[in-house]
Amino acid sequence: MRLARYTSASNGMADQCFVEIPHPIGGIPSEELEAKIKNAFPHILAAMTGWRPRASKTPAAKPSYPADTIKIRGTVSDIQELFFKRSLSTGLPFVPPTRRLVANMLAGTSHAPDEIVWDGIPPRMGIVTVELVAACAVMAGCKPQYMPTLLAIAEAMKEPELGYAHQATTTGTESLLFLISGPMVKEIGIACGTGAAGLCFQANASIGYAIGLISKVIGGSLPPDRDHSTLASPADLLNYVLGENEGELAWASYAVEQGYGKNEDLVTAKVVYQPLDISDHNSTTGKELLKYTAYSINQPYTTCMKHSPVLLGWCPEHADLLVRSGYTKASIRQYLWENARYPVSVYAKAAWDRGICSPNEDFPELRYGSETLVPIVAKPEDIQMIVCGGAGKHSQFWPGPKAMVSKRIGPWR
Amino acid sequence: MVPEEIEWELVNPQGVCKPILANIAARPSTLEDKTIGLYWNAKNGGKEVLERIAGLLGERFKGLKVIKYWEAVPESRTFGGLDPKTLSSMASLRADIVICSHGD
Repeated sequence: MRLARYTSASNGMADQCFVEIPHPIGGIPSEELEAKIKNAFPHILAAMTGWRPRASKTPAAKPSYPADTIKIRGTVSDIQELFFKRSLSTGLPFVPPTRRLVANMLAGTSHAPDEIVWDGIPPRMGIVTVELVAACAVMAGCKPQYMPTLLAIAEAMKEPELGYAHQATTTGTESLLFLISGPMVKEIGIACGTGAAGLCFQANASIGYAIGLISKVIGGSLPPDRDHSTLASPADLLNYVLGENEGELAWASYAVEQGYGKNEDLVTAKVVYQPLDISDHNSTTGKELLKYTAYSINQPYTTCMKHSPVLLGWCPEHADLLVRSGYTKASIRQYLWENARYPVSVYAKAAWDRGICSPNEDFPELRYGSETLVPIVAKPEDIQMIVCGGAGKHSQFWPGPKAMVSKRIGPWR
Repeated sequence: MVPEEIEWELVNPQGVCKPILANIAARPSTLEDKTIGLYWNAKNGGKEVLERIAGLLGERFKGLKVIKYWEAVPESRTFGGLDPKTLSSMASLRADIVICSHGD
């Protein structure tokens, strides 16, 4: 309810008519549900005909630039404490965003500090300016040369098809993944080899943290009242940032596949669930590896037969085995789509009613019985692939809802 | 050694919010001959609650019409947010009042 009221207020409805029916309403005996409905009905009836909103007026537009100044006399620890108490940080240590450091950070882009990058990041509908991106970048320990990448990421996040608003407040364990492509990877030292998806490389870790601060501080996506992730994960704050290991590529990069130039700097954003390690040390042929991989990724998701891409990060050794065995990206996708299938009966009937997994016009030949096998995504092309990581036989799989969104970094220099 | 206290001037990283005011529609004084829209966000139990409420309202108000958006506009059956095109389709059905189920 707190999230509902907060979101309502953030979207201009300071007063909204809610009737609360105590959780849960799903998965309970019908008598219990009926009792809850009967209790709520008089309130619903009153709300439908008798409720009147309090008078409200358009909130005064405060200038989005320059950002307010916080003056404090104290130690670095005092600043950490103050910011945390005021929800200006999340409790992790940060670099105090002094005016001088923010000015230094702004030198990393030609864009004016007052430029609005995103005019309302949910759920708070905070206005994201270039200045505030710089402030969060300072706090996260970024270097000025990361600014174009950060700004391109913010631009990608605001696209509706990414599904950011849902990711920011859902009970699911979704977080954000940002793939960096092109010469920018080397230019700013984005790790794409060993440890690329971890937090031990300055560029990857600090960019992921800066975006997390934008989400939590400017966007207000904080647990427990606004970000409802049931359990969450570190990636909720420290988003995944990795480069495609283009030096190890046996096939076209993700960026080139999408129609971008090989030398174009690109950021691609995706909402993802936690990754699965595909640990295959035994396959000696591509077919064996694909069979193992199909079994590994074959599990029910909320993207059952949906047109939502999933992301498979092949480690270089797995990619090399596949190429030596004669596989192309297209044939890998086709194999996985045909073989990573599970019985639709794993979903309870309620899932069908809810549209989680529903007969899809792309599969007219399927007769939906209890043992009908369904693929994890609607079509082979929805299995996106990159090469990333270092030595070792561990690939990673990131399932996730909604689309992948790419933005060029160059215009933000 | 005691940490040194100094004067700091820091940029507040939170910024301001987008100023929005939505005009909330007035409630009808009665539901007789009105059309109610039922929006279900595809979460468990929501549909059953909405249908039961519509049933109870129908017993009380004559001429009440019901739009179940999950049937009339199937793409509205999502918990991932409604896009403008879907919202437009729902609005075109011209309900007098809408009950939304937002559970999880």
